[in-house]
Amino acid sequence: MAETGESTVSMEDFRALVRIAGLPLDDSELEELLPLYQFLKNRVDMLHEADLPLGGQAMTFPADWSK
Amino acid sequence: MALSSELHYLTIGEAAPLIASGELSPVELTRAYLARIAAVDGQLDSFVTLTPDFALSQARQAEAEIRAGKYRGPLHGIPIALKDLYDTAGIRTTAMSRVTPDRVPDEDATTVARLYKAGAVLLGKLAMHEFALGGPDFTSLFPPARNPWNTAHMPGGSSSGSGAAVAAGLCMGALGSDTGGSIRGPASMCGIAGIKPTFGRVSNFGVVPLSWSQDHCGPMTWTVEDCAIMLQAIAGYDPKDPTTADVPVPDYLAALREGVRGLTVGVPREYFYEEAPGVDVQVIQAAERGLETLSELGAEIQDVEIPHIKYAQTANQVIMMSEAYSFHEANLRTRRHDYGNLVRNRFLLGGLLSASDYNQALRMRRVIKDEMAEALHQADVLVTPTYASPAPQIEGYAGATTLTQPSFTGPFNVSGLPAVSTPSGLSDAGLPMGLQIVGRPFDEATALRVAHAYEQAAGFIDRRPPV
Repeated sequence: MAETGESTVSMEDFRALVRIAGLPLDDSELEELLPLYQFLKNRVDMLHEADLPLGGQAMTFPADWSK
Repeated sequence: MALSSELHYLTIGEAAPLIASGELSPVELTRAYLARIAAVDGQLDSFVTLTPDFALSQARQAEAEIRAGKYRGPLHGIPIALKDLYDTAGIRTTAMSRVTPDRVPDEDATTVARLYKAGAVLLGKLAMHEFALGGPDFTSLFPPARNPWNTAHMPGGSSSGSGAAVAAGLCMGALGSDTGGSIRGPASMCGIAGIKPTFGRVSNFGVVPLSWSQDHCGPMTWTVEDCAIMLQAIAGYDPKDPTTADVPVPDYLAALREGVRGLTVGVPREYFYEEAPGVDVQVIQAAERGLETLSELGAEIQDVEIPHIKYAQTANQVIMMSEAYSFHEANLRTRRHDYGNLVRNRFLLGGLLSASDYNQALRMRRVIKDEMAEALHQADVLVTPTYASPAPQIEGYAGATTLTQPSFTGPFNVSGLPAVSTPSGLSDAGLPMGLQIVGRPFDEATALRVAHAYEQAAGFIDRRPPV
């Protein structure tokens, strides 16, 4: 599912990541999950490349928002 | 009075005055819906639990109260149903999962209690995507619901049964829940109305969570008017849910009468109106025609920008999967095979994201929220297509679709803004598509007002699915 120019994750690295996460997945599960993870990781890498201001993340709207 | 064979296609707005005046019996109406479900739902699998005895008991009570002059309002005696993640005291609530196949809550969700208080009659619990994520999955607890417009196709999700049941006339309204588009997607794909209210407008207490900071409860109905009626009953501060906001709830029905003349409709063309992989151009064309209709009705159409919009879907998914993993972590470590294939993979991805990933998504949420707020200082509402395509086929459905296909709904779970979906026409294959109207924070009234005006002008609600 990786597109041209995007990084790829080897099965070896993916297996290590899953082990560190403490998930007891077997080989067939790893093979099924890796393409999804690969896709998501490329999207998340793009998210990290965005230059964002620091600040609180609480999502609140003041009651007088429209004033 | 409508013939009994047509009762199941009455809207709430049509039935309520008949019930109030005594011309229509809630018991007769409930029996008509139970008969309709028995006749049709074998094709759709939209219900996972039926509550006929409870429904008839509620209907008899409603009838007695109305005869005694104690009419509670437009939901009194109205048969509805609930996505099977709303807690119902004494009634099984499974979230469609083999992880919780026999769970019977002791207490009603706040929304359910409010619907009962308004006099609604519960027909049963509705199918959904397992734990509100994934897709139509034959490895979940119950078979997936099917689309009444074409039963080879999915009804959208995750509120799949809610969409299918409302469209097929199996209940007059339903509650869905929406974390990335799970009310608006099935509303779009089933040709009905649905609203995801502002985050904090409707209580999530007693609703099985997917993503605490992005979950929204809301109604799904045949018309926008009916959405307004149901939202009126469930909206408002709930001391049991600290994320609800203590702000006044306006009269949503009154707002519908005001039309759109003088309103400014913002059009975020980047992302939402662009041809891209996974986007069916028909939904964009239908939305463009929707803008023309709103212009003819007197609204001013103005382009607006949301500069970081291309990151919104990823932010929505990272937050969703991280929070879902947090909720399901213990079970995923010890009994992951009790989860259906599609939802299990999505939850496991959440366990592979880092704290840095989650934090970056939260930072992006703040930026996008501020950019949408700026766009809504220039316009009263934003209008986009609801979903990137008409309903896909169930057979061969790719579990990664909701991950890879552009999402026009998820960005408004990220920002928490209220968003309505109303039908925008049928595709060449005869499948419904939707128009999304997004409002300012806590201004569901204006979003409903625009959706209602468009719905009445467009006329798509006159068509019913062939079941």
